[in-house]
Amino acid sequence: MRKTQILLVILFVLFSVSTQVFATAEKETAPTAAADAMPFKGQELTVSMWGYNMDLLEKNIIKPFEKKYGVKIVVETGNNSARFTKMVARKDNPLVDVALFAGSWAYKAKEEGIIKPYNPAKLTNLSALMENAKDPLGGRYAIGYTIQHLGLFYRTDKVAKITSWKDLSRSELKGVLSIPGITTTYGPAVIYMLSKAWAGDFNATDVGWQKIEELEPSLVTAYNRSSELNTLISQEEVYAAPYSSFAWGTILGSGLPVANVIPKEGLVGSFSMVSIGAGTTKEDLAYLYIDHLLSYDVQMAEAMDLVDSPVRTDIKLPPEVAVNLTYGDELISQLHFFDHKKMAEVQKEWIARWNKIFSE
Amino acid sequence: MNRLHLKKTFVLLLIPGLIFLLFFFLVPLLFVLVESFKGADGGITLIRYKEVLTNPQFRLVFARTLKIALIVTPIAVLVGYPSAYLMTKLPAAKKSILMSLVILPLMTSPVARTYAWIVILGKYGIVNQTLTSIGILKEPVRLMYTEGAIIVGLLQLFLPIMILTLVSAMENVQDEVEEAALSLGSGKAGCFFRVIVPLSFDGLIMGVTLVFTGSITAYVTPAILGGAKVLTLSTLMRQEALVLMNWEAATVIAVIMILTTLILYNGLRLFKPRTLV
Repeated sequence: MRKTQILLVILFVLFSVSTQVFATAEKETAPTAAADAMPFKGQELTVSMWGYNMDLLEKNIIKPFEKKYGVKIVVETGNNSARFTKMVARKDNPLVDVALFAGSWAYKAKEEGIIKPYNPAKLTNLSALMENAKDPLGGRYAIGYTIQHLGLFYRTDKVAKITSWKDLSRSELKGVLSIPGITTTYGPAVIYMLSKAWAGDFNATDVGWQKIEELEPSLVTAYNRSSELNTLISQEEVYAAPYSSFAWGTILGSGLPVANVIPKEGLVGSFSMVSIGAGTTKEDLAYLYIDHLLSYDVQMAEAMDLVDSPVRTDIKLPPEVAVNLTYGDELISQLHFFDHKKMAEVQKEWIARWNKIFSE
Repeated sequence: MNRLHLKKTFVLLLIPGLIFLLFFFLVPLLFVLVESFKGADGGITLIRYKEVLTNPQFRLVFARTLKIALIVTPIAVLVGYPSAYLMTKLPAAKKSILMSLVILPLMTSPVARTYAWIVILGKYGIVNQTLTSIGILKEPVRLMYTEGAIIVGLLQLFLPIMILTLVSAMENVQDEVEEAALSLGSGKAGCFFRVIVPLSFDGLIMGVTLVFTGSITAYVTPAILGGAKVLTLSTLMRQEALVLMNWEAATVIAVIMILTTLILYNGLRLFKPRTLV
């Protein structure tokens, strides 16, 4: 028995080692005919990004880029705050070449000096973008590579139609409602929209906060990631919630009867932004990656897979796809874009206020 | 081999472990401690502690975290002690099977184990479905995103550690000691509480410390099963460090966690029964 066990262990070790050896051998014998056409071949580019929908991002963006340029994309995933904190901590020894952030975090990144301005002459696809995506922060610190909105969804078989942000206060949603946490991209936006709905003014945020306090007992929880909302929906804990539009494809994929609405007060819009990391030593490759992100093929593929809505004006989507994205003049004209500087300034105070409400 | 040689060998064998602990435990710990007392001007100050300790939200979160740990730990002892005792009395083959069952959850990622509770405790999860189908409940009740869910999740996470620690301690109690107690007229219960427990008390202290520390410092389980409405010290610390970049407050919270555990550990040792064996 003992000899058999030893033999099994040896065989297992040999198997593990051999898979690594053959993998390495496969890399070493890869064809090199196109090496001269790939000046960046063998280099690595570090991209700080979200991990949501990573399989589709790999298919549509990362693998095609790696194949085209013979490079390796090293991905640092996480939410905005974790990646931002890492980049700030490594400010004196930066590792990230390209950084993707939500608007308010891109603003903070700019203030912290961890991203740098881009040269528009180096981006061939920049001219194809909608105007306000080209320089949403000012100073050319970032480009909006996708547009999103904070929508409202509801279970059509469980609750009556939702037409307004005020409907979140309906008694039938008690115990089956969730909202984004205050530290998320759209957390603060909910305060603004509730202020608009109940006081007629986005900036009447005391009213918005009062509504949050009234809603708190009704909430199942506040979600901090779209993946958490997906879990809440698939487990049927939640029948209605504000949601980030990039998650709509996954929400539809739950197979549950859901509908999204454009409430009469409108929707919150935002760009997810891409920037060049300050201190990058691979600036040329970084520009190629950003240009790739803005290319027709990538923007179309991401849209068709319901991952990200396009910012290129030459993308024409079939109606059955368009209805699930932030697309079309009718929808985009109803989006409210908030001042990132203002949202960054109130962040600390609003987190404390949120914790006070949710801790009691 | 003479005594001096044995002692030298003993010290040499300890050195690698001690070096590892020094650089990967003591030094970071000292760093955290020093940072918690650093003011904006770089000088020593207690202002950070004052800011945190006078914050009503912190006190609420600390009380909640302590409450959860003080519920999980005794339950782990109550379930773990008899389980460990039984396992030490079994023949080797059966003991081996039970030990495997205890260790098996530890081989699974805590994240995976915690997510499994979402399926069990969810609105239409196994618990609610069972209770509604047999008529105990008329409709599903909220089990997820509550302190109760965190307690259940932490118990599942740390009970194996309590059992393993106690098994290890009880195996050092010789059978003859127990036989002697029984032959001298002690009942089974008396023998357990007056002989087994005192002799395995060091293992109990270790088990309680590990479970309590784990419960106080756990992040994944409270984050997933408690959600944003049920903040604990670790989720609060994360918010301070990664969202607000308030590293000073985060280090203060970390020091408070460590102090709480040290107070418990040293407090428990005061209750260690005197033994003659």
